[in-house]
Amino acid sequence: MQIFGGWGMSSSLVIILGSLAALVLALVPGLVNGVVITRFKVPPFIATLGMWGMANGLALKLCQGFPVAGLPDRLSEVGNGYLFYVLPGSFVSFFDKPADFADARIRELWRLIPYSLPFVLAVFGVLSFVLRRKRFGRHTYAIGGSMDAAVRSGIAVDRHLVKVYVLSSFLAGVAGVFNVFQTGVGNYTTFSAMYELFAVAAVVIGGASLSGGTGGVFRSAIGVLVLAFMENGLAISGVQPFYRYIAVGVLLVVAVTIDKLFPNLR
Amino acid sequence: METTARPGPSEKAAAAGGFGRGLASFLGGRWVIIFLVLETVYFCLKAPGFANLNSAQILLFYGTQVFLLAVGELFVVVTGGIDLSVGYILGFASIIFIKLVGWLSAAGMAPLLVTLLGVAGALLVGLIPGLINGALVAYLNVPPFIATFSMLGVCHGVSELIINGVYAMGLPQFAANFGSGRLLYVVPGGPTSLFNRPNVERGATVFQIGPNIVLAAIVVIAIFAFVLSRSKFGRHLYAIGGNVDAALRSGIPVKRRLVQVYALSSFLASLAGIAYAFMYVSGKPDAGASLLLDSIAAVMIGGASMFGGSGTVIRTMVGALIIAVLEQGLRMSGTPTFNTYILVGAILVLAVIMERYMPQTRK
Repeated sequence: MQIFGGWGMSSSLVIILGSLAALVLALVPGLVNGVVITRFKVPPFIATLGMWGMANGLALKLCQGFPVAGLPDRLSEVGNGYLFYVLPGSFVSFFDKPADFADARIRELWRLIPYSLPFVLAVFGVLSFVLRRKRFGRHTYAIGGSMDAAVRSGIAVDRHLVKVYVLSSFLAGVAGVFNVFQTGVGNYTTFSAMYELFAVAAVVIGGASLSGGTGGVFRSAIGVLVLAFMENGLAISGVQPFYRYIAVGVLLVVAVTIDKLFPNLR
Repeated sequence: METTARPGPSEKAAAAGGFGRGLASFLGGRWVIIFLVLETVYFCLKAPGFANLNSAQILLFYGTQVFLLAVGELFVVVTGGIDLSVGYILGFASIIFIKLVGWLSAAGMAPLLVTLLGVAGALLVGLIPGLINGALVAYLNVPPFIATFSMLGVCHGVSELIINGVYAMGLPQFAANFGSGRLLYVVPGGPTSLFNRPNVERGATVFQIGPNIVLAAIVVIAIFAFVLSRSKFGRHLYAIGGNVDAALRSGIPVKRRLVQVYALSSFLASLAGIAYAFMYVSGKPDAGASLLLDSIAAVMIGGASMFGGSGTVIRTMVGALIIAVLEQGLRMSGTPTFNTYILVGAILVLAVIMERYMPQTRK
């Protein structure tokens, strides 16, 4: 589920407003999902599959089948920027790529810590804290562990579930906005992108049970890293990119099988 | 159009217990068909040229893949599972078929033999993903959602590897003709011919009746409708979907049945892929990528429960027709196809809600 806002011309204000608007709009599908699932008792699988179709159609409709281009250049500079630029033995600069050095030495330049790293770490940190320490997170585990027990102990299960779907949708929106920052264009999600496959695989490889009640943010992060390492490794060792779909599929099944065969590993 | 179940006189009796409840139970049982009729009438009025024989045939022609996939999906859903890999198995099979035909032709065989062997080979290879899905679900207790989702990724990867960046293309001429051809060609006041388009001068009217691919699909679907509703195999599936424990205790080989049902879904997806290759004379990995939503929507609109134990082929076909009519109608009234995704998604969710709130008048 990705909402890519296409917005007007230049100036950082436009970028900020556009990002905010996209994030707010990204709450809507999650809200609809949550309400449909809790109020109308539609199985989550079906509700979100329906939303998949609707969001896909809307995204294609908004951009008429073409990537939204003509965004401010500043956008992709920020999206692809690094925190430190170090040229060994001569200088260190923050945020901006130093302009005054010979192009020939560009390969000697160390670019350290892409902006995405602290950003993602911050998101992970906040969510991990919320999931482990706050009431919201406890309730989430309680509902996954035993729905009946959660209802009986007075948790507002329906409202909580709506919040969870809104959160998921919001994070997908963040990912979408981030994608715009990185690529500099607003694009619809193609069928072959299969973000869902990778997201589910990461969570499962990270040890979350599909029947609910377990899992952790940083464990899922390890799942993501497993996939990312694999992908980068495959790319660098010159294997055709299509193998990654196969590899992810196989990994996913292996992870679940281990989970099923040895339920007491954790 | 096929003549599927129509509202019969029996619902008059249901209306006896109070008008409101009668109406609700009438709608509960029939809203899908009423929806289909309303939708068709709407597009007949809205889209010029929608209401004619040729348009209806084109509708069925382009709907073939969804019809076949939906039947396979229904079998899996009846057992309480789900198969997410059908779309990419379709693409996989279309590629295998075209490649096989290519290799065999290069070996210098006759076109007819090549095509038949290609179909048989693609169907055999197309069973493999389903068998693996079934084995994972039945013997390793992997949730169907995950097993078939992984298979989706694997099929996509393998298809891309086989074609290596270039779409698979090319079939013997007669196969391509068969794929886009009709059964009957009638020249008004002239000869009637089977399979071959008669040689008439350009601009003369020729009635073309019965697209071959659609007819073949109808035969296949009829066979599987019979299998699901009348055979022992079909009964076992309902039993498994209704209550696995009871099914086990009554001696149904549940694991074997599950493997068979995923293999069957994969088989039908391969058939859809072969139909695709016949229709478009090409094969590509994402040929059926967008059809997963359509096929699950068709099954759900047809009133099958996600939790298994209910659903019939005919109702699923009504669901698939709703989608096919929607697509064709939108196409002909000049709306961009993006709207189809939005509407299919909305109808899918709506269908499940309707199923919850309308009293069940069926078994």
